[in-house]
Amino acid sequence: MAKFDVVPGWFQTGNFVVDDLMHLLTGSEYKVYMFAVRHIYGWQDKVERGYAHISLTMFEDGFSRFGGVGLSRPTITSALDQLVQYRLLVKIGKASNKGQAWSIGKDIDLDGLIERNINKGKGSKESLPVKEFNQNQLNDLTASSKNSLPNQTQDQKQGKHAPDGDARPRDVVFDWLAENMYNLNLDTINKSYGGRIAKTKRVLSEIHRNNGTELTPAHLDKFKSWWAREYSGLTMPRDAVKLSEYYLEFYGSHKASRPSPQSEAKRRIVLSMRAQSELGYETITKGLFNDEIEAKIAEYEAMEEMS
Amino acid sequence: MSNYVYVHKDVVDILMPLLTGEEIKVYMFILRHAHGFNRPSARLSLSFIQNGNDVAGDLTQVKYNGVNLSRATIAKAINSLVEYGFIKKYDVNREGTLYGIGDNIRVDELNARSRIQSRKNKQKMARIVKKGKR
Repeated sequence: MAKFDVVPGWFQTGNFVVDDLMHLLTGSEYKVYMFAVRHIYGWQDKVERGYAHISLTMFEDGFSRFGGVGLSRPTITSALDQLVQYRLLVKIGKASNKGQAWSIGKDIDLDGLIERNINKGKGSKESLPVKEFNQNQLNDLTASSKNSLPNQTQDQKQGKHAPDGDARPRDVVFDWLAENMYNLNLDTINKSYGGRIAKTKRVLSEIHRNNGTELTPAHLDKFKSWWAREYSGLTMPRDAVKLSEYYLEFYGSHKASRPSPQSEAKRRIVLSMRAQSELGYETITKGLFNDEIEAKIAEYEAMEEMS
Repeated sequence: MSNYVYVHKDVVDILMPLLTGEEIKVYMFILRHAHGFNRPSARLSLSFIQNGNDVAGDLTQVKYNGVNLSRATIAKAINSLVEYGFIKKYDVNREGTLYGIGDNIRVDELNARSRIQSRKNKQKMARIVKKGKR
């Protein structure tokens, strides 16, 4: 079949199918519908009859020199279900050993198709029925199947599920960035902003992860006040990379001003030894802390603060 | 259904299993706007193929719907249709690209693509089955 021949090789398809129907059907539904049209109206002797027997195997693999639709059986079945639902194809009688007899529907549910098309774009998942989860089903799973299940969050493990209608718990850091950096309403965050916010969150979290801490809104609050102090009059950059540079600066200065736990312990040991000598202890023991010494250390700290 | 567009039988009989649903939709759209108007070619823009024409209440114009696919999918489908000889691309101007219906289809290459795809699908299915058994 290198070249198309002239008229004898062609069959008619209503303009309606291309003009008004094609944009409402998915690719697989359109293929199945075209296949049915071809095998119902494609032969002169069958045109008047108005129906043809087409089995699922024929849809899938075709017969003799005629190919099938090139789709898997489940896809064909679901496409046929949809075509029957919207009355594009009509089942005639019951399936026999020749297969199911099909005819082309004349009374197409165009309104239903248009409605489906509108709903497809906006949250049609909400209308899908959700199978109730049965905890006992988990017991029947093998160990490897259990491993392939999605990880539960800490809240889910403790039974703290998100309120009804909110399938996932809200990400507080994401919300903070959306509200404070992009001035967005949390209910109407579009995809492009969502991606940028997520990137910013990833970059800042990485800084914390490298230092063994976790990014929280409290950190971001401190960063915001630090920014207002250091760069008053300037707006915070929205670019993730640029922001991360400033965040590193903030993180470095914040980290330097806060003593590490090790240096804090050393300082207390030195103060304890000083207190022991002042209190007239005969032997000075490293790391000795009692009420007397603690009171003396508190005194030293108060004096340090005063100075 | 008073008016018809002619589709070659081999498109459904031989080529349909070798083409994706999106490619079939785009091919049929171009066929409709070329042969459907008794023309050898049709000048179509990507936005027209995607959304059809915007008549915006103008009753003198006929409303044509598009294929309702994303721009990227349409561009990909057009490229593969051109590659396998289903359609021909002529000149491009401000109003769109001039497409003609090709008559020399590279069935062997299409078969090869189909074989590769089915092999990939089989491997994918085998992986799924293997994972399920484990």
